[in-house]
Amino acid sequence: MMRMRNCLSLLAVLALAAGILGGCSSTAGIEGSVTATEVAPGVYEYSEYLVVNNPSLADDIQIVSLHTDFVGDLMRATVTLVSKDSDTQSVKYSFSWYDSQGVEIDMDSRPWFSLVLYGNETKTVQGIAPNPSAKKFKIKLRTE
Amino acid sequence: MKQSIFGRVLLLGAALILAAGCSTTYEYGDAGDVPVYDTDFGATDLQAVADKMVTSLLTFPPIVQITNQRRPIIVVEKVKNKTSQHIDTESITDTIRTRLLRSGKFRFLDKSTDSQTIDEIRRQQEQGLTRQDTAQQFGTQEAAEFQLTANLSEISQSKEEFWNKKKAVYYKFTMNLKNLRTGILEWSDEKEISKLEKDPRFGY
Repeated sequence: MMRMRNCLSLLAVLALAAGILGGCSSTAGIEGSVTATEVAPGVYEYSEYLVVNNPSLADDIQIVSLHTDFVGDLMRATVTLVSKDSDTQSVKYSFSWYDSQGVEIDMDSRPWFSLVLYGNETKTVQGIAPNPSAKKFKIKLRTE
Repeated sequence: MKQSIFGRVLLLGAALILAAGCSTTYEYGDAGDVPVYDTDFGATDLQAVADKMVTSLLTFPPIVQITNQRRPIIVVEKVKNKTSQHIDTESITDTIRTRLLRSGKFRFLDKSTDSQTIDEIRRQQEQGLTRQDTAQQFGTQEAAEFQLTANLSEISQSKEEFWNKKKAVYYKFTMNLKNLRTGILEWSDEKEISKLEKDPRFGY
């Protein structure tokens, strides 16, 4: 009878642990951003920043470069990522675009794309602005 | 006595967690991040294909040169679906067309609504309700300069082992932009997608 009770207690602890762990995966990630400010016609100054909201993801993946240029009058974002882990990793990324006033463009079309990074691999992802009003981009990275 | 209360609280907690998993729930998801449940061509693949094609077309140097001067008119053809699946390929071209149109770089002809357009012009001309100096005329629409065509193909492989079943599906979406006057392909690109399924026979 005592053994039965111990068994039930163990099962209960396991179920509680599984329930709690099930809701533990963080959806916070890393954000990188570049703003282009036109200082003279066709001449831009770029400022970039990086925010790490998930230190454990930042231990595995690093944004090594955030690059912006203009193709015609459309802003293009080129971001280089490197895996700091020797195992294969899957991450998701999404680009969002903002005009010179900081207002987000096409808020409803922000798909998340999957990216597989093999051990210590470097990969580049690219995005193009929805229209010529974009002067800032943001890339968000998170785990699958 | 204390142990008994602790045990009961644990059992109650576990029962609540297990019971919570038993009821069907509904909630809104993120349309930009649709979960992947199988190896079929899904919403995530559609978005990946559209994004690659739009980025590639809008950044291809000869096309950039053309669109810097004018907004060419494109007609979009149906995607040739060479896969074994029923895929709403019009949804892929709709997404591509919408994003290209909203970039302000291209204009499009919509062949799918031609019969409604003919009906409306005929109604304006023949029904007697419309002022004839404002009625639209046949033969005034602009012609397309470019034709956008696409193919979607699939290669599927599977392998059965004692402990699990594996399936790999490879998709290739190819898109071409043809100059209707010269017949020359001005742009082409491909998007490849690989999806893997692993089905263990025992446990997880």
